[in-house]
Amino acid sequence: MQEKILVVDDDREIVGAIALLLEAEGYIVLRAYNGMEALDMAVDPDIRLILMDVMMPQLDGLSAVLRIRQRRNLPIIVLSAKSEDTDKVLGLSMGADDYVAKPFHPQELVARVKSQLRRYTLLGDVNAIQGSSYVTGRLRYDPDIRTLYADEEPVKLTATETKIIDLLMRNLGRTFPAEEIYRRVWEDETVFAPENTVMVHIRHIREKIELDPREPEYLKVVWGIGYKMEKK
Amino acid sequence: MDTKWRKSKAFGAFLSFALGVSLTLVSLLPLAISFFQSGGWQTWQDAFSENFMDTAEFRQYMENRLDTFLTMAVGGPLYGDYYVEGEAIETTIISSVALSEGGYDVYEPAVTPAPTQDQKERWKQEIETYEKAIREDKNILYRISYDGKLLYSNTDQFLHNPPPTGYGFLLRYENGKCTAYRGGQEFNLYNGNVDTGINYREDDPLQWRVPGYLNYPVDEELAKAKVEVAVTNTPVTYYNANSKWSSGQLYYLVQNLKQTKVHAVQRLKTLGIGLGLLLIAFLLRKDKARADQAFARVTGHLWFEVKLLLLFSSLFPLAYILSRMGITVEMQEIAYAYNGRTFLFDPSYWLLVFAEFVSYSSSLTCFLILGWTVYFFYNDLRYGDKPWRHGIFGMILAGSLKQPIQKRIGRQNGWLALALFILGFELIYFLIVSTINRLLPAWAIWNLFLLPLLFAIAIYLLCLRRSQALAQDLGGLTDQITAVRNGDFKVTALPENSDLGKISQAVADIQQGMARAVEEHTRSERMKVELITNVSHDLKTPLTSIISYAELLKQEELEPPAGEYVEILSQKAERLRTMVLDVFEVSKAASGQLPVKLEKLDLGKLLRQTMADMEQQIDDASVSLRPSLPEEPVFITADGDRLYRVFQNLLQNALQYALEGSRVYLSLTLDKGQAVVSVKNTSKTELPVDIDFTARFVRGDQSRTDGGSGLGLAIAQSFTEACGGTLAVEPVADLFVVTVTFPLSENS
Repeated sequence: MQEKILVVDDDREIVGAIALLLEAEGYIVLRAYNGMEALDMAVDPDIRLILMDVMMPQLDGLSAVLRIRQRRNLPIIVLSAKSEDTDKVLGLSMGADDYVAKPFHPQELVARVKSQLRRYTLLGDVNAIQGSSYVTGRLRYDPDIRTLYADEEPVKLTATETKIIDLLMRNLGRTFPAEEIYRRVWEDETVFAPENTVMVHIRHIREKIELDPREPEYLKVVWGIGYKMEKK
Repeated sequence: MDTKWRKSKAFGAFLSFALGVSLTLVSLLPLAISFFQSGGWQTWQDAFSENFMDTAEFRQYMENRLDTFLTMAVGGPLYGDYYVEGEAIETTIISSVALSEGGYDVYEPAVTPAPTQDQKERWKQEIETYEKAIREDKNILYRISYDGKLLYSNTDQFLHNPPPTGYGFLLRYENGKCTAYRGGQEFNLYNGNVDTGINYREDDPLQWRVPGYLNYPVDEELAKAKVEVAVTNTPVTYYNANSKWSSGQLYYLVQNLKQTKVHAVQRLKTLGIGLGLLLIAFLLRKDKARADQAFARVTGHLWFEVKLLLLFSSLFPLAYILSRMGITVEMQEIAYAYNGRTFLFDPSYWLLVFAEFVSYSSSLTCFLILGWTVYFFYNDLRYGDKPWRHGIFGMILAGSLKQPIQKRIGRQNGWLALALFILGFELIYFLIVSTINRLLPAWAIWNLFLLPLLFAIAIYLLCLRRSQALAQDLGGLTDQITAVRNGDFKVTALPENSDLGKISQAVADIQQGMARAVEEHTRSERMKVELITNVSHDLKTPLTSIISYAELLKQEELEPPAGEYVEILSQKAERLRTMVLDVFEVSKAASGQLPVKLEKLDLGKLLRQTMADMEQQIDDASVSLRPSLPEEPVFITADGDRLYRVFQNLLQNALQYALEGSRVYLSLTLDKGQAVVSVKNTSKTELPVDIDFTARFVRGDQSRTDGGSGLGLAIAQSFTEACGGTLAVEPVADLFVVTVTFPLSENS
């Protein structure tokens, strides 16, 4: 079954471009050009995801998100040309599930859409399996079978990468200096400046788990201190 | 090590100064005293003469001996029994010779009333008792005869030249004349031909005061006397339990001379050491000055009042001594001693006064304590920074400085009023007394004093009121200026008609002007940020379309060279995106609206992480990176994310613009509580001079169109400053140097 996605933006060309990108991925795209239209169209029960611009005539995106949220439970991704952190926080607090700043990379947008849809469709299962797993955002780590899932898809990691993930996922939000990671993962005495060794692996893991490896959301560097897995 | 050596050098210099001064004073003063005392010079000569028989002391002793023996020969009186039943027996001075010509008196032989039989008996008994006491003292042998009859003698030997063995001095008196022999040789103790007549002069040290001079005539009785005395070469001690007279006097005379010499030598040695130490202190005077400063630092901790108290209390022993010895009386005596001389201008007189005082203080302790207290007080004044500030008075002064100016002026006015009140009181008191005593008529008092006084008081009160008002205004003005400085622009000018009204109005104008300027500045800054925010927002929307459609175009199968063109479009769109985001951030940072999350972090680690993060770029670059970072952590307080951007930009810049094959140096050093990161690279192209590299859109090569937004350094600088650090660009010829400085975190 093809999934329907509602794209809302007052800029028709942007809507068109997003539609083309998503249709290429096999989705059906519905188009709306302001908040009011979006509200009307959002009643379609087949719509699985909404992409919503913030600044629009008649009814702005955030208000529309708030109203849709009252009636429907579906993933909403907010698009905005304002890249300030306050806008992002505001959007997420209004009930949006994700936030993409304009101008975006087309691939990134597509990746986020896919991620949200996957999580949405698997939501029931996710609740069932959580149990002894460590979960942060779209990542889940099952320590029993030493497997990391991104959007419930197992991530292929090397043995060393798995050890790093094991350490960081078990201690979500805690910052580890490179020396400690080195000691606990390589089980070796500290070498001088193990930053490079650790960083190489961090980079590889990012490429596997992050939607945009250049702007990581989960596996972060705490500059001047160490590394951590963000707790969401 | 070096400071230790300097310290001990300063200590040594001061020690030698202190000891030098003390030793010099301790030795010099007694020496000076003994020297300036009466016959001081003679005493010194005596002390240092090889044979005691050469000394003036011995001469005097022998003169007195001869006197006594002559008295014994004529039968008394031995103890100067000059008073006979209340009537003094006086010798009559015939004439005096001026001091300049010798200063001697010419006597007439004493006209003595014939002694009574009782007196004669008593005198004889006294002489016999005395003779018994001295008889055993063989230091001096004597034969005393009268009118050819031997009266007293303690020897069987004849005493004429040559004298008995062991006796080196012989003195004979016969027929009113003396003859003396030293070691068998006769010598003239009159220092002249006594047979032709000669006068005794006090100023001739070679003359013995013995009978035989013209002005020391011998009477009929004395002419019959004959005395022979021999003196031993080596006087020995002698003790006579029955005698109330001191015996063995000659022995003690010699011992005293020896002791004087020993003392003098000791003191001279001490003086030598003291002067030597002073010389050392002089040579090390710079070190001594440092020691003085160190002492001043120590004494600086004391309250000034305490120091004054110490100074005065060290004067107490002095005052005590003065009162005890009655220095005034003493000075009187000294003045008498100098009678007729211009002693006030005679330095030796003052030295004498001083020396007398010191000798009276028995030990020099008091004097030294006083001296050193004065020295340290002087030292404190010399090196201390306004030492009187540290103390009660200083605290009151500092306390009053904290008071607002109107209160201070008010207080000053109060003191002034008090002073005038006292003055007025004195005047009125004087007037009342004058009136009562009728020194002045009443009308004069009224017209000459009371009316002007009332007038003066009225003027003073008027001025006082004005002065108080002025003080209030000054206070107001001060408050106003303080408010301007604190950025409070609420205008509260003084009223127009007050003394300082105009100035206050001027300050108010400045205040308003500043308020306007600040407001305008804030508004324009806000507008600028808003403008840039809006512009960047407006740019972003079309940019989104461009990027998206470029991406879509890439997915199409296009005829060459269209694919190539699309690739270029895509790249440029990406660069435009970076620029728009950068412009937005730099404008925010420049207007101080950039949120920063400050935390303690290790700058060395941050640099290592940055290098690890950029590993790919660094490996790909045509230059090599040479980092030199300390192993130990360097803690600073900053926003890690922002700082990462700073060094990312700096390294990117360096890698991009460095000459191919050259090296980029990244170093982290500590300097005076600062962490200094420097990035150095050799520029590919010639660097323009006089250009601010951190200004927005500035690039080393104006014509270059590739690469970054031209905002890298601007971002690096504004982010660094937002985190509390500084960034400086110092191009030296082709060497491009960027220095980032952060203060070290306190507990690192």
